[in-house]
Amino acid sequence: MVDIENLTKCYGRFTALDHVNIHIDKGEIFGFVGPNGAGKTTTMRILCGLLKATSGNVIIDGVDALAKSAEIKRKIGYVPDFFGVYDNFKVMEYMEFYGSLYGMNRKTVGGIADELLELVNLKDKKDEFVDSLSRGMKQRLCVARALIHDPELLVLDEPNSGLDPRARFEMKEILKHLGSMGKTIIISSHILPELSELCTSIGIINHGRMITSGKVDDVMVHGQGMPPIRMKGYVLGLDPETSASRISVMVKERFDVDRISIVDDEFMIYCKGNKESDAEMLRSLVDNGVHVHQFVRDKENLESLFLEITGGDRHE
Amino acid sequence: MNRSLINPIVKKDMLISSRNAKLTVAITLINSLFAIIVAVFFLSNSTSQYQTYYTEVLRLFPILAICESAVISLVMPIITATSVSGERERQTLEIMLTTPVRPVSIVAGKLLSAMLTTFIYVVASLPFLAIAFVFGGLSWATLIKYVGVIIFLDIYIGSFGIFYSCIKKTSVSATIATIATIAVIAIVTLAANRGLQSAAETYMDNVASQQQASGYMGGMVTCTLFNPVVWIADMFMEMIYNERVFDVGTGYGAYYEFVVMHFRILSVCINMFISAILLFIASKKVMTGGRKKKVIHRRDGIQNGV
Repeated sequence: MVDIENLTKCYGRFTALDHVNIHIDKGEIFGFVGPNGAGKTTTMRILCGLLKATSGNVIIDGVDALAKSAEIKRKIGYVPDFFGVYDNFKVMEYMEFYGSLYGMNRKTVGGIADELLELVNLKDKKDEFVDSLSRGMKQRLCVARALIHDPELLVLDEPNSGLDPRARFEMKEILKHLGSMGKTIIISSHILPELSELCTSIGIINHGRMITSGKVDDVMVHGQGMPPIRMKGYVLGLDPETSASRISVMVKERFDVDRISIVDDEFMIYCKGNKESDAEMLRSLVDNGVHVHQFVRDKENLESLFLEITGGDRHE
Repeated sequence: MNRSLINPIVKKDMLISSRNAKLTVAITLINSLFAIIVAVFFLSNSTSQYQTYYTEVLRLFPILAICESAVISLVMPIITATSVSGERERQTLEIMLTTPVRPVSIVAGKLLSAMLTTFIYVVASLPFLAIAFVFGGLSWATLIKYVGVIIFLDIYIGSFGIFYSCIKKTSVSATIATIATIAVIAIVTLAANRGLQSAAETYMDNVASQQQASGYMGGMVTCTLFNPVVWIADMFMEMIYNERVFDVGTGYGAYYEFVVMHFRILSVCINMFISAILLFIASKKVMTGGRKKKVIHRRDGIQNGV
């Protein structure tokens, strides 16, 4: 459905996207993960024809998206990370307006809009002003608006940003439903646990480079390492800074550790190992006078994989 | 799918503006202004408490028409300069650009909806303009000319407004740039007009320098072509006083005579050509104009879900 090959976008000497490659099959829900400024929105904006690529190819449903952006706009529904609504505009009028931009007449839009508003649980709000809707409702309306022309590909840029847990749950259910209807969805989000539940495939981007992409299970299995050990502890009689420093040195000297991050008072110890080696590390820490009050290896999940892959930039 | 005949952006803008209190307030203010003008006119032209010469009343129409044109000249930059930039500020432009709607349709829709808004002002003020009808003497030709002036002003000023609205980041800067540009055009062309005319006058008495005087006068009338106020003033002067801005047959050469003879049509064509260029550039800039420069730094971070 979507084939992105060597997509590059430069702003002067700054390379926002560096030879990005993504393949998404029809009907897949693709989670696009990356830190702020990694290039997710840039990729999405190029897909939707809002930005011109410096080089590369983007094929959507067999159509060259970079050469035929007018044609491709009929195949894509875009939900940006903001609402973009008009004052003094009712929900149904909002839907009718965007339908008319796709050349649909009022009668055609009316029927489709009714169905879509029902899908996003806003049918009873159709005569209300858009401005009076809650944030979650507005975001659901944006999804309905993006579906007005029945696009084959839905692109959502952080749709859950700023939503409360309830609204996020509702959004997730809507997207799951759309996935079950066979829509291909590209979704970027910072809320990784939700993304891992929702997506069938993922791509992790950092510094404009695609680090890994593929089916969720494949990416997890072939991830670049194991999840970290989360440890909390201190050496009695030392100030927190010296204590943290001594523990770091001790662990690095005795074990084959890739990296140790300290976030607040929690040590994230990145190392390969199994139950026995983890137990040995714990015993060694205790034997060397470290008072350990938390020691657990993270479960394999998207969040740990993401931290592992992009972790080189974090405070160490 | 049956495409709607009306530009959807016009339909949407008119619907939104009809629900906005600003339209009602603007109509009330404009009509109040006209009511004051009419009252002052009748009071100042009454020969006694009960008598007003109807010939004097006939002059009311051009006066009100000039006032309406002036009001539209002030309102149009604000409406158009905030049109595209307003969509950008509201973050609706980007969504609009992901639909198949062409940038030229956005520009045309914005101009047309601004024109329709000004026509609402004109229609709302018709009762005042119609006072001249009551006394007779207002021809259809005059009315059509007046409508023509309104359409011209709408397109001319609107093209500047939409141009700046497409290239500027904010509505405020677009409005300021539009008003400043129109003011500069008006002032510079009038200053050039005065300067060249006084230069020509220094050669007028000298027969040997008649050619030079013709050159200056030709330059003067040419730069005046770029000032739409002049041809509009010329038309209203003819309506009120039966006089023209430029005298014909003054011996300043064939070029001067030609321009003066066809002054209105030439000025309209030149200014409409400028408007067409501005609207063309605006349609090219809708997508890229007003965009903030890319911030060249990356921030890393990840939010954990609840």
